[in-house]
Amino acid sequence: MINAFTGPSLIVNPADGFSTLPFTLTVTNQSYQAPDGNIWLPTEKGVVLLKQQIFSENRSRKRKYLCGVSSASGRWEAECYFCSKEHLRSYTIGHPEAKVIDIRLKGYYQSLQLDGENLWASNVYQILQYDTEGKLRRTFDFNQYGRFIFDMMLDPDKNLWFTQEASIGLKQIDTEGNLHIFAKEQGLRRS
Amino acid sequence: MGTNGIYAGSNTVESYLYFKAYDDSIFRKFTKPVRFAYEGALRIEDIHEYNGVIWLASSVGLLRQDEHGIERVELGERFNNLLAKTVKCQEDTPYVWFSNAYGLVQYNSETGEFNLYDESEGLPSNTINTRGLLLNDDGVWVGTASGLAFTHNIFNEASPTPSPRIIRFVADGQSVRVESLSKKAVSPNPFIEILISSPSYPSNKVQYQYKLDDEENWQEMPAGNLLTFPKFTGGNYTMASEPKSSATTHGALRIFVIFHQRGIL
Repeated sequence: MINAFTGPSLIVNPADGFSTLPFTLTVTNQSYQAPDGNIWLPTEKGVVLLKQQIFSENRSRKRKYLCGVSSASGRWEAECYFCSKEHLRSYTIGHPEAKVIDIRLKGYYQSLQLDGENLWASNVYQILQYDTEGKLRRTFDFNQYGRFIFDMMLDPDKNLWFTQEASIGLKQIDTEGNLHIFAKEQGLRRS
Repeated sequence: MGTNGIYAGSNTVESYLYFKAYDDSIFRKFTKPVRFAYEGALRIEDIHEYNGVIWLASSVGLLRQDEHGIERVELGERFNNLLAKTVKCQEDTPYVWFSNAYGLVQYNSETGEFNLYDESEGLPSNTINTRGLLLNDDGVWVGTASGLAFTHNIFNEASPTPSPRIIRFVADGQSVRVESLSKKAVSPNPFIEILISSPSYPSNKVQYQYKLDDEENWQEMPAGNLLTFPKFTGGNYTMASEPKSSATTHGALRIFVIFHQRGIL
């Protein structure tokens, strides 16, 4: 932190450069960082405590409604994959911004799942299967069965289960890509 | 997905949960009689099974189901009957995380205590979306209406909340410096006001309890952290307070004032 009596205080972050302290304070000629990391500022308004927030925000150029987050390990490049309405992104800890994997204008990503080789994303009434490089492998279209595919889960055998708005029961895509529907006959009495 | 099979949530109280074992071909009703009162319709939003307990994020709050039955996790008037969108259990800890309209809640299933994380702790928004919560070895990821948030802190270790201070002490309308309390005489049976605060942010989320030395139980501090004693009888008093602000902190017991009521002494 750099304090200047006649101007705003500056925060120096090696990754981001200089940024202005987001408060209208005139800070006198020094600040104190306590062992717990908190910074105490003597200001014209009194002593001010600056405390690091618990959560930090990932900055994406377009911040939209996030629909799903999913973790990755092993062969995956990033630690977290997430989607907003029209964007599918990955984020690596320490990077200043998330990386865009795919953009679906007029689409609506809903949920994500990851296994060792596939990133599954539901978008409106489709399920998109990406590889570890973010390349689209296959598109499954369920327009004939209902509307938005709200949720997906992978079982231990890597079968993909999902729910679809205005449709019956649960659906499953097995590892061969075949569709199975679980409805009343399979014990589910409600849609 | 559970340890032994797949759970499916529904939107009727009679059949709000189904289960299919991995080696089974059909789903079976897995509901228990709902005996607690709630407002509106019961709808299951998210499910997480951990150590034999099924945690349900529902339209009426966080629910807990085990072999004996289902109950709603009582979190006080503010959070009861409030839509919970997502739920996750943090492995090897008693913590159950869920989201509601106020932000992200960390519930301790052993003690019943809970902590709320919201925009004041760095979340871009208090609105956390369905499937917008992820706990992994890296930390906690939160998908909000205004972007992704992350913390390395996995909340297993707590640090003490800074000790509170008396920032105002008033006896019969007269301000008294705390440092001079033991020397300064106050009128008999005074009306006392004590305002306390911890040098912590956000200060309005610090919860305090207090007791006088002749009391056995801790009492919740009133709203605004302003204590009032209408008629203090003569004697020597020691007051203690215990502050607590979030899961990353724990109470730091601190005796912060000893005052003598002179005039009667």
